[in-house]
Amino acid sequence: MLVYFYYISLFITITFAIIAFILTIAMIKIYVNVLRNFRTINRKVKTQKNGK
Amino acid sequence: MISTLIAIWISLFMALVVVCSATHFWLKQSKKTTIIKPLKRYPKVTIIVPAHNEDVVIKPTVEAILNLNYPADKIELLLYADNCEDNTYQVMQEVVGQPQYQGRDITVINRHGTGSKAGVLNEAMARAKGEYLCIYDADAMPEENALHFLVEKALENPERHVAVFGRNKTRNAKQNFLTKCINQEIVVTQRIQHVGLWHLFKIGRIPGTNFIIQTKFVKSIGGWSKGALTEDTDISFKIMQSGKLIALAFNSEAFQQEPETLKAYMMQRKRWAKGNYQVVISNFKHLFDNSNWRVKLETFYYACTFFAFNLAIILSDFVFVTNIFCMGLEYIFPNIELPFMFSERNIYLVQILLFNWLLMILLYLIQVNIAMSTQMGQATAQQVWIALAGYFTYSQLFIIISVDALSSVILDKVLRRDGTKWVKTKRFND
Repeated sequence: MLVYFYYISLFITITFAIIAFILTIAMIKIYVNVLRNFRTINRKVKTQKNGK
Repeated sequence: MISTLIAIWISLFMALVVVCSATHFWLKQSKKTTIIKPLKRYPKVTIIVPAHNEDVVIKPTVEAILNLNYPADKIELLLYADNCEDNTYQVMQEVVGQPQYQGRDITVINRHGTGSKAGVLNEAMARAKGEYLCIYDADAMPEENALHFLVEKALENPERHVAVFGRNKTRNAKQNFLTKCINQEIVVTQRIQHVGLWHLFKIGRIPGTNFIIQTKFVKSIGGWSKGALTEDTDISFKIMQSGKLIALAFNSEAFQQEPETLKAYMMQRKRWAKGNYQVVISNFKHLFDNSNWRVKLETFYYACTFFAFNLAIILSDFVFVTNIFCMGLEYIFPNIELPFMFSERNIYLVQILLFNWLLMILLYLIQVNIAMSTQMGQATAQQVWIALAGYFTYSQLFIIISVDALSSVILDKVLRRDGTKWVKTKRFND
């Protein structure tokens, strides 16, 4: 019985590890997108202020 | 031991489904910028502020509401000083009496009645002139465009979006370690759980403040349940039962104060947990009848969180503490054996389970950081350390609160006590 539990645990652990890896990549992408957006808006606001 | 692990894995799997849904949403949304466009129309909104002994926090909230980016002639404001023993009523009158607010549709009511917040909301519902009711707690200062975003979302599909809710930020987040942990919890709940559930299942949860609801609809379902400890959870289930939706306006923000002391925090959370237990228990029957599938899913989710997951964590902690205690006793009684352990033949299983445990902590940290990444300036190294420290401290409070709340619910039934007594959350000067 414990042998089966070992293989189930192994499968679940590998699944969680893959999900953790994918989520980490996604997190970095979200962070970069938000940063990029912020800089674009900042630049636009500064340009508008200078234009005035 | 194995059964507690399986229960934890099931709960983690459910949480990961929601996390993945939220991540998918934020991957798309993070590429866009928010543009505030004029609305197709501006329905009249009755804003209700129930306040019980809130003189410390009410002034900035009322001023923030009166400065909302929404046509002033389309806002009716009802301020309720509900059974107050302090100067809440006087402060309200002082604020609305200022010259810049002359001519606004504002009523200040010094209420002496029963029913707590639900009682106030039902009274306000009866006198409201607005097409929508909008509720702000006394400590929840809306951001300038909060109402705009709520109404915008409602008008997307007025037939189905009978209620729309936004998010609430912690305005005293930096006060101490407790408020920093509460802030993280709220950010994760709103940016991951709420977003994930809405994106995947179109399930929403009314948060108690910073939300709007169609006046006609709330009257048709009989208003708020008197005596409900968590009137927001209760009405959320009623809305889902009717087949309508509680939509999420993720850009609508309000800033509210959170408890700054452990005592105030435990009292507030016990009330919430008790109220949620009452709602889940009363809705449990819907798991087996012809109810709307969203009600079944929410009931199942709540039941898993408050019963199955809690029990698994308690048993897991019991195993851990017992083994640690026995390891200590080994110094005095060398022949003592650890009661919960796998034999040496199963060393690989032990290693896998240890790695599994570390992975769960990692997934928790990733979830927190995804939530923080969605807003500029929040994803910092400090937040990672707070999350790690909170995992072993703040998060464990949930077990104590849940056990306390469930015991209270059971004792209320057995001893026929009034389980609806509302204990006020302490406010602080900020």
